Amino acid sequence: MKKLAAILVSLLLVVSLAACGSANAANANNAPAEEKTEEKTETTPVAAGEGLGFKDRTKNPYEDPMKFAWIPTRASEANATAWGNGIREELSYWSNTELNVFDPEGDAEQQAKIVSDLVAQGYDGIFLQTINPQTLAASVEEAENAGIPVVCINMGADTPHAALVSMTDFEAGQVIADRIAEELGGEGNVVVIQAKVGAVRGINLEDGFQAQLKNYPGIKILDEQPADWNMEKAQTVMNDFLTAYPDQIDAVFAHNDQMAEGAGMAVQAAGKTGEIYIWGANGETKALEYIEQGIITGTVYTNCKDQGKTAARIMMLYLNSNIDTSTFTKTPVTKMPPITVDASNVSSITPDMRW
Amino acid sequence: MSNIVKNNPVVKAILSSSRILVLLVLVIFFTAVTKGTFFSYKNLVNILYSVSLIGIMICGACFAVLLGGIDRTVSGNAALSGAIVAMTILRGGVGGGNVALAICLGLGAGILSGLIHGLILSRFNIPAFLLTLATNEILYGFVQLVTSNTLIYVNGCTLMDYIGQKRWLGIPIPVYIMLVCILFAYIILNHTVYGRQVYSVGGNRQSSELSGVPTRRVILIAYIISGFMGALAGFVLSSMNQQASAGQAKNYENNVLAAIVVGGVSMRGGSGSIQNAILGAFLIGVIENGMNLMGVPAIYKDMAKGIIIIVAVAMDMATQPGTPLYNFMKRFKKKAA
Repeated sequence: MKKLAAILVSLLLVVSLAACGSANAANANNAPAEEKTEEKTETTPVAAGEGLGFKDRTKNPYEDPMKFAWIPTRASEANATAWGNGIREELSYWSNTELNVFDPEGDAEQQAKIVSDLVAQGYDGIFLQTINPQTLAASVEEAENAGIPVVCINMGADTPHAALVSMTDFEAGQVIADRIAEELGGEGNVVVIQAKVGAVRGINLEDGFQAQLKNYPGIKILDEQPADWNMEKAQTVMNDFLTAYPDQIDAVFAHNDQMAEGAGMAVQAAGKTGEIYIWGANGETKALEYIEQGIITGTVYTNCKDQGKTAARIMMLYLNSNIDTSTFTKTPVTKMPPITVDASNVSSITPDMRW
Repeated sequence: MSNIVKNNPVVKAILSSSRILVLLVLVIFFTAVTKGTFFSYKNLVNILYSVSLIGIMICGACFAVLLGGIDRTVSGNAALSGAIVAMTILRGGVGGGNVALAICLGLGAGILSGLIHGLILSRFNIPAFLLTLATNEILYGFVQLVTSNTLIYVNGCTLMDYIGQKRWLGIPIPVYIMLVCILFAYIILNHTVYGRQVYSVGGNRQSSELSGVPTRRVILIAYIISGFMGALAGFVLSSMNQQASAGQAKNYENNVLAAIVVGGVSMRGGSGSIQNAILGAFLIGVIENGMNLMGVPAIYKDMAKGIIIIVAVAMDMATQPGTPLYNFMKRFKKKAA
């Protein structure tokens, strides 16, 4: 009887845990909507005197010893490396600067802890790609209040900070929808290989894609499955799509290039290369090579190294000014130009632009 | 007539393991729902392909689990081996000699890692979970060093192209590699003295030692096999992806251990078999594939997967004398009668 009671109690615990989990997922899903509204209003300039404060900085960022940190979501990802290289290249012109990389390995709480630690250590500036805008809000605010500008890359925090240098995601999804519609002549079936469930970039790309597809009633989404940004998982998912919908798939939209490459390999193994249009996003070197080889159709390319450099320049600008970024009432956003790449213009992305 | 059916080895096997029964039910269910697509040759090949990497890793990790230990470094070994192979080819070119060197270095790294773990675990009383949890992080640290945190692309390597992209009889090469590994593990565990020693040490290390089994050597060899299989899986993964990355194969160890446990291999060691561990991997593979074909939305997939796994394991426990669930069911049946 006791055992039975114990089993019942543990079942109850499991159910309540599951409920908590879904609540978190719901929160994560709300995030992009807030992000987007923020991005749309960002074009209105910040009025002088409205919340903007000034203070004197004691250090000259081009002469005094400066310590910077770069905290991506995961240091092992290709774009994180490209951004880091861009920041490093830009800062290396000034021998007084030092850049350290920290890896929270995809854990938002860990990332928040790192930011707080760096504030305590007296860093001069923080480059950050937040894992979760809400979780990082408190520690980013802490850094800004301590006079440390936080320049975010691709994903900001839910609190005003020095700057956000962002790739396009909603717009990239729209562009890809347009291109697929154009290639299919407005009629056809698409499958989507999604990002990790709850990933904000994936949700934004998808929202843009779906919003634009409303203009093309002849295009139908057959199925959507996540492959967690992962190439071999995407290959499995694509294999399953090809089996479930034989000869019905006209195009594939993958939320990143790695997954587009996986889909490309599955399509190649099925002997259907060239029959199915495959689009990815990001523009990493291998995707560009696959476009050249005709394995995938196209991608929305962003020069990630340049994005890192831009972030570094913005940081130096603030540190050499008397603008108090902690008094900002909204985060200034600058967007990297997206370049839609396919076989016709892939050669315009020269080797020095590839990452 | 009924005796003939009952004595049929296939029927016996199905009735003796409820995992096979659950697998069979799932196969029939998915085949019916997908109007036969699930049971097509092409799809069965897809399932085999999707479990091939995990399958290769199981063939190594299973030895550690049978010994009552655990090897969480299969993923780290895979990532390191893949990175070393890709980096060596990138530096030295795609010539035959260099590719052979790259593979030797990659697999060698796995063997070395297994050797170190085996030496430590056989000589010091450290919990294997703790040690391999920590060393897996170290291994991933090495991977970051080797790759400098960038994606390493491999282009034009004939052997890796062959493994990653070619098919024999419509079946991808990684599947054959997995089958060879399964055969290897099966023969070692069931038809050699060493295999019997593994079960003996896993069942009771002290009494095996007293009866003259070289326990240290048994443990050492098990972790070397595990390291090698991890490294082999890493090489296959790099061939499939034509690249190596610092985060490659991350968290695969969880899937490997899940499959082994679902397959009924006891975490306390000494009982279970490689065939059942592989069956566990297939069970998970079939569930994932079937739900993909049915177009089940991602949000329900994990839930459904968890429930089916619990049902499979519970059914198995309910039919095995001695387990609490079996006793519970027996009492329940008595009451009902």
